Formats: sequence, structure tokens, C-alpha cells
Amino acid sequence: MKIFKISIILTIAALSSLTASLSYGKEYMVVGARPDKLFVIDIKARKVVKSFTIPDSTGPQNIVMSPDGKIAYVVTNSLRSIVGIELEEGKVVFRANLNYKDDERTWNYGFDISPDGSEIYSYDIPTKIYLDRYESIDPRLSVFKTDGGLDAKPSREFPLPRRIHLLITAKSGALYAMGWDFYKIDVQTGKYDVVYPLRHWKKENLSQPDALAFWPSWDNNGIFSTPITYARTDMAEDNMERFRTGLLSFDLKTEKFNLIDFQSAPEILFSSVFHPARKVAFAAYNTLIKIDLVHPHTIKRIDLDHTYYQTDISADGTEVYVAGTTCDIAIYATKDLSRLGQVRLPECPDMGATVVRMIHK
Amino acid sequence: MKHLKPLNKKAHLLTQTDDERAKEDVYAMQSVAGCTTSTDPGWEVDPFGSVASLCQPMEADLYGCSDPCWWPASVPDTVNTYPNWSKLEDTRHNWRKLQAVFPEE
Amino acid sequence: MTFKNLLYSALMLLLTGGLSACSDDQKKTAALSNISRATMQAGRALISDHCSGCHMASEDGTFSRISYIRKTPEGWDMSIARMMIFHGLEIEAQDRRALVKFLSDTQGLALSETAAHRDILEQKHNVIEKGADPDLMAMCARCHTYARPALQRRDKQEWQNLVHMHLGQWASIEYQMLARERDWRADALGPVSDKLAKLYPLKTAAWTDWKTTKWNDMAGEWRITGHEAGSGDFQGVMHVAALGDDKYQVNYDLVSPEGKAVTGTGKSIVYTGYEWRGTSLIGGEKYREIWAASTDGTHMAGRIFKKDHPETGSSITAWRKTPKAHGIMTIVPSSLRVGIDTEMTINGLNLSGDVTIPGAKVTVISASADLITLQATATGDVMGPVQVSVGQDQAPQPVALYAQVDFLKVTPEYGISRVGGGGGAIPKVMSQFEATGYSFGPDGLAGTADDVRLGILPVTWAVDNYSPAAAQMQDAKYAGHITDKGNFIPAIAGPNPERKYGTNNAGDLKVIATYGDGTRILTAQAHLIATVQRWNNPPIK
Repeated sequence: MKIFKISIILTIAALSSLTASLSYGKEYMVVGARPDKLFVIDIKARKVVKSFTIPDSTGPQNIVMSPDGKIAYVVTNSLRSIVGIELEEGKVVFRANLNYKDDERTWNYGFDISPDGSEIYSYDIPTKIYLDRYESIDPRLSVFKTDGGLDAKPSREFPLPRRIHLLITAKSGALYAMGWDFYKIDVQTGKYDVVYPLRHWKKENLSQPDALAFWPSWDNNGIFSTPITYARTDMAEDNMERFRTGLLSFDLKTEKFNLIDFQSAPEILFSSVFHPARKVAFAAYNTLIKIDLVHPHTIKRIDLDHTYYQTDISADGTEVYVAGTTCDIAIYATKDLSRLGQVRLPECPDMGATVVRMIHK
Repeated sequence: MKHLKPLNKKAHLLTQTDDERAKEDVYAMQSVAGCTTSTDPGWEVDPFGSVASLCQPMEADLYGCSDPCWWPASVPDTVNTYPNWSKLEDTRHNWRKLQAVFPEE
Repeated sequence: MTFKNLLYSALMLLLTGGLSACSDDQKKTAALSNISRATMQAGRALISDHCSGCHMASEDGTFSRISYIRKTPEGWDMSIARMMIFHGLEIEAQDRRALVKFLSDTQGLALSETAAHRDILEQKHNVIEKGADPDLMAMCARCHTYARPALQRRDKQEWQNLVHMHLGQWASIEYQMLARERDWRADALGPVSDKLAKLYPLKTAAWTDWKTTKWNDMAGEWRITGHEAGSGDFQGVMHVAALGDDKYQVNYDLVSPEGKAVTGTGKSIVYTGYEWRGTSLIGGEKYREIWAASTDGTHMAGRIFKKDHPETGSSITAWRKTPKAHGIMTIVPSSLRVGIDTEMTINGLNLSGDVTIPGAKVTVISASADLITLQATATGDVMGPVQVSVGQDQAPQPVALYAQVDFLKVTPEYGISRVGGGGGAIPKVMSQFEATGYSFGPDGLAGTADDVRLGILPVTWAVDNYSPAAAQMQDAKYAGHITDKGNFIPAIAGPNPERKYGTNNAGDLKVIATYGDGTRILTAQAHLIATVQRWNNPPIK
């Protein structure tokens, strides 16, 4: 079978019509959209300030920012490439083809960057492609130096467990991965340990949980969170209240995990975001809810205009954002979930499964 | 099914009920041929046996489903199988341009 | 070496090479008595031309992967489609068809190997797959039907290759619900592959026997009866003429459920010696036929459905007309209400003798060898199912004598429809319901083993919201409507700005049948999920 080899593209991404520099000290939202778009949004002003085209892209999904907020690294090209785009002029400054081994095709399901911005960690699921069959092989962590240029090759790689879907770099530089369990990975040696069991958790009176998190919402609060569902095994079988929704969180500074049980499970929630003060949190899918973290319960619930996947929050904690799926980012007040406005991406490209990142320049 | 305790009401009812026919009914709600039973949240039917918790509208969810390849039997996956299925913008308005994928003879 | 010696050596090589190839072919031809040597060679050449670029050819005439799998005609067609979509194979339509024929004939399934999954093969709508190992259902049937793997035969290594293909093509497979809570890959490559290899191995006695049995010719006259859901029963005759190469020309002379004469023509191909696949134009409508012939070639059964709406179709039975064949096929209607004069039709072959319905007075109106119309009146002396006979022939299904309809059931109990049209490329998928009447039987209770099935009844149809949540969304208003024949026609596709979320015309509905019998009213319900489209519609879902 012919392997589709991605040719090296040394072109510069199309310049945006808006060439004004990004201001310093300001907050921006970075988001992708199909098939090949990257936007920088002055979210408080409700304005798209940069529109870039990512070369050779079919559906940007995960996005990771350089610590200085200058470069957006985007997983695209059918989950096979990481493209780094600087956000002033949209120049491609980094590109890694994750299919870097002969006769392999890979699929990326998680990546993050070191605190000093020098390394990217990519969780890849490779398959060996023979002429007449496939062979699924072990997933790996590929480490790329961010100065690797436009045809970056990994500087090291390690095998990792299967079924990981999220990588989070803690402030210390330790790499955490969420899958069947939460792992902590030494990025120099590849050694990993289970630091918070999920599938194997032994929590009294709780069944095995279900959580599938893809969306990063820790930029403005330093804490990862995701809705998680499980059942109480100490409640009567016919009691519907036994199905629970919790918030699982991971503090990027203290590297501590926490689980808060806040409601029964009447609705689906895809992602969540903590308020920077960490007394409340928000979660969304077809509804947007506000959650009290101190005395865990749902404070308020509103219907959204349509489904959204991703939630995020402003640095000052006044605004909560819902994004993903179609072409609008809706904005609500964290105080009372009143609608404050929206940003509609130019020409309405669908965000689909792309993520949102918050940066400060 | 041993592995996952039912985490939604409908699946819970399946393990609960004694009446064989009622049990069959509840199981049936999750397995009409042509419908996926991976209800997270599902393509045809949601985990509560209804349509209300599917993505609303479905067109909002199309790329969120095709791009990460979540229901490849029903929605063409754009990762490996149908990377060129669509480069549509604004699917909620332009959905009519989407084509069926199975090649007719 | 002299030139003469060289020539001699070359000649010997050629002869011995040729001879050994001959004897190999002879061995294979003896085993596959239904496939001529010429067909075998042509088929292998076809595979060699189109497939050996990737599928390595061996000296024994086999090809990697291909020769180690058996499938139905649809299964092989889907494999070729996959080669086109996944791997960029370009192939002309006629070569694709020829490959499907050759592979189905040489590596197909025996009829018994398909029996449990013919509903899916026939593209029946609203099928709920039953009887399979629940763990295999969770592992192998949460995206496509269980029938897909169950209509294949492979040894363990090939089942494992199939698992590897799934992991390689759709890595999300380990992450979706019903997979992510387990070690999917280890389970799939281990115990699941073991189970599949035990249940569906490459070599079976059924296939070996069928290959070495002489396959039947379908040419001849066939007596056909069928049931069109929502409309009723039809019957008639099919004239099948052989065109050669397992191809047939068909003419239909039918009588519709309303009693109208309907004619049609069609063409068919028979795969694997029994899998009839036809296209026809009957009464001005285009149809597809997926039927199977019995192993002795005297019967066919299956489904005929509208080409543009596969969910709309009829089940049929066909009996080959021969001087010796005789019997009762169907009796319409299948019940008699006490004291009511009822016109009945008995469909069969070479019927002769008296018509006997225990507990009923019978007056024959007209009788031919294949069709008897009569008037019957149940006297009330006998109740419940009775055996009808015409001379020596007995009806395969009983006729039920009853005083009143005691309860109704709507089928399917759980169905789906899909929005479509609205300017988009995907047509609507409708959902046809029927109401069947029952009497309690001696115990006076519904839902027990002695219930007596009376037959499909004319009812009035309605749809309503299934739940309070559906009522709040006004699902019944937006999702579609049901015709007086019980066919639910969904609304058009696309976001509906009138609705909350701008959502689609989907809905959670109940379908209600109402039967009026004088002052008595009987009702029954079914659950209908009016849902969204699929964009991927292969022949085996």
C-alpha cells in the first residue's frame, strides 16, 4: 500500500488582513476551525484580530501555546501533524510529521509543552501499514524540540500505556497523562507511575468511573478539571440518585488531585472550567451550569443555543466562554450566567472538535 | 455486561427489571440495527433512550464526530477513511452539500 | 549445451510445468465441481490483475488475505469498496461485479451459515439483533451490526488481522463508550478472536458440502406469495429464463393486495449457487431482490424492496412449479370470526381435493391448481387455531377461529425513522408499522403462551409524544406524520430554526393503533425514535 507521505511545506501561512500587532498585557483567545483556520480573538472586545490559514491542514483539533504566548502549536492534518504558528504574522515556525517512521501511520490523541517551551510531548498511536494488512503497535510518547524547524524529528521516544487521551505538563515540568488511570511520566527516562487510579480506583461505595477529557481549561486558573460520572454502590439499586456527576481536578502547581461530587446524572456534560478563585466552576454541553465547589451542588443551569463542547474562563473570572462545534463562541457572566455576547468567526467555519486556549501577551 | 455498571437510567433499568419482556424492551432501546450503542452521547439515540441529549442540532456535532472519528459506521470519519468528505463551512446552513459516502456500483 | 538440447530442455520444462499446473487445477476443480476450470482461471486472473499488487500471489493459486476469508456477495462487495476507499484501488464497475461473483462462488457461505442473519442481509428495517453473546455484541456490534462479522468466516489469525485493521483505521475504537472501560485491544486480539474463530471458522462441513453439491438452475416457473407491510398480501407467478452464467431474465404476473393485476420484468444473478440478487421494474416501480434458494432448489425466500427506499419492502416465498410439487403456501386471511362470512384465498401449487376448515362452513367460489377462493364462516363449535387442508395437503400455518379480537400488538415494538431530503443528498428513512390482533386463548390472559394470533388488522394510526420531555419539545408536531397505512414519514432534514437549539426534526414518539369493533375500542402502542441521518449506508449495516 502506498504510504501517503506528507511533503514538507516551506510556505508561510497566509497573512491576515489585520496586521496590527498583538498588544502586550492583554488577554486573547486562540481557537482553530475547519478545515485550516487559526484565530486570535480579543475576547473582551469581542473581536477577531488575527485570521490565519494553516497550510496542509484538515481539521485542527488540539492546540498548545508556547509559554510566552507567541506560538500556537496545532495538531492537524488528520491528527498526523503538529504545526507551530507564530501569532503576529501567521508564519509556520515548526512542523512535525508524526508519521516519522517508515510504513507507519499515527494518530495523535494528546500533547503538551514543557514549562520553558523547549520541548513538545506528543502521545501518538501508531499502526504499521503492510502491503496487505495493518498491525497495531504500542503507543508512544514522542518528544520534539521546539527549535526543530519545519521538518522536526523527535529527540527521544518512549512506550506508554494505551488509551491515553490527554497530556498535561505540570508547572514543575512533570508530565501527566490521563487514560485508564492518571499517570505521571518522567520525560527524561520515560518511566511512568499511576498517581491517581480511575479504572482501578478503590473508592469506598463508588463504582468504576467514566471520564473522557479532551479539552484543556487550565490556562487562567492553573487547574485541570473534567466532569466524571460514577455510581454510588451504597445506595439502593432502584434509586436514580445513585448515578452521580463529579468534577475531577488536577492542580498544575501542587500536582494534587481532587474529586467533588456535585449532582446526580440527569444531563451530559462534556467539559468544565474552574473559576480562578476556585470557589465555583462551570460545565457545558447542551446546558451551561454553575457549580458551587465549597458546598458542592449545582447553583444555576441555563439552556444554550446549541451544543458546545469546550468551556473556558477569563483571567479576571468575570466571563465564562463556551466554544467548539459551530462557528460562534458564546459569552456569559460568571456571576449569574446572563448572556453577555458572542464572537462569530468570520465566514462561519465550524470549530468542531478544536480546543480553545487563553493567552496573555 | 460485566465491565461497566450502568451509568445512565436506561441501562440501569435493564439490570433491574424482572419481567422478561420488559427486559427485552429496554435492551431493544439500545440496539436497533443501524444505530450505534456507544451513547456518549450517541448518534441516533442518547443514553436515556431518547433524542433530547444528542448534540443539538446534529449539524453542530457533525465535525466534532467525524474529525475525532467517533461513529465511523454512521458518520464518515475524516481522520483516515474520508479525509475529503467535506470542507464545508457553516455546516448548520450548508449541510445540504454533504454527500453519502458508500460507492454505488 | 547445443541448441537442440536447449530446445529439448525448454520443451520438457514447459510440458512438465504445464502438466503439473493441470493436475493442480484438476484437484481443485474436482473439489469445486460447480466452478469450471475456465471460470477458475478467469477469476484468478481477475484477482491477479486487480489485487496482486498488494495481495501476494502464491504458487498454489492463493492470494494473501483474500483466500483466507469467506463472505456473502455483499460482504465481498464491501471489501472491494474498502479497497477503493482506504487504499485507492481503481476498478471498473464490471470488473468489480465479476470479482464479487467469483469470490462469492469460490469463497462464499453456505445457506445454513447465513440463516441467523438474513434479516440484515435482506436490509430489513427495524431489526433488533438477538441471540448473540452479549460480550461479542459490546465488542463487535456497537457501531455496525453483529451480522457483519457473523456473515464472515475466518481462522483466528484473520480475525486478529480484522482487529488490527479496526485499531489502525479507527484508533478511537479503544476510547468510545463500551470500549474504554476495558482493555479493548487485549480482549479483541485474545478471547474475542478466539470466540470468533470458534463460532465462524474458515473451514466448515457446511461449506465443504455445499461446494461439492451440484448447484441448482433457477430457470422455470415459480409460484410466488408475499406480504407488503401496510398494504397486505400479494401473489402470482414468476417466469424465470436462464441467460447463462447464473444470470436470469424474469417476468412477473402478480395480483396486488388490492386485487389488481400487476406485471413486471427483472434481471437477476445467483451467487454461491443460491443467493438470488435481482433488480426489477414492477408496476412502474424499481425494486431490488435479496432472496435465497433452498439447498434442493425447490423454494426461494427473502425480501423485495424499493430501490430508493430499502426500508419499504415485502417478504416473499416462491415455490418452483414442477408436476410433482404440490402444497399450500398461504391462506389469506389467517383467521375467521365466528358468524361472519369471509372470503378467503388459498395460494399453493397443484392443489386438488376438498377444502376442509374444521369448525367452519366452506363454499368454494373458484378453484384452480394454484389458487382457490372460497367463502368460509366459522360456526362457533371450534375456537382457536385449526389445521386447514386441501385434499392431502395441509396448510403450514393454522387459521384461527375467534369470537372477538381481545388485544392488539403494534410491530415493530421499537422502531426508528430518519429525517432526510430537504435538499440534502440522503433520502428519508420511513418506518412502517402494523397492528396484529390476538385473542386471549383459553386462559383469558394477554401475553401468555396460549394467545392466538388472528392476523393483521386495519386500524387507525396516530403519533404522539412519548414522554413529558418530548411534549415540551413538541416532538410530535415537528418529527413527521403517519399515514393511514401505518407508514411514518419523517420530516425533512436540517436544523429547524423554529425549535429549541435550532434542533433537527427529530423526536421521541409513540405510535398508536386504534381498532374499533362496534362499541369496543382496542389500542396498542409502539415506541418510535425519529432520528437523524446516516451518511454511510453500505449494504450490510
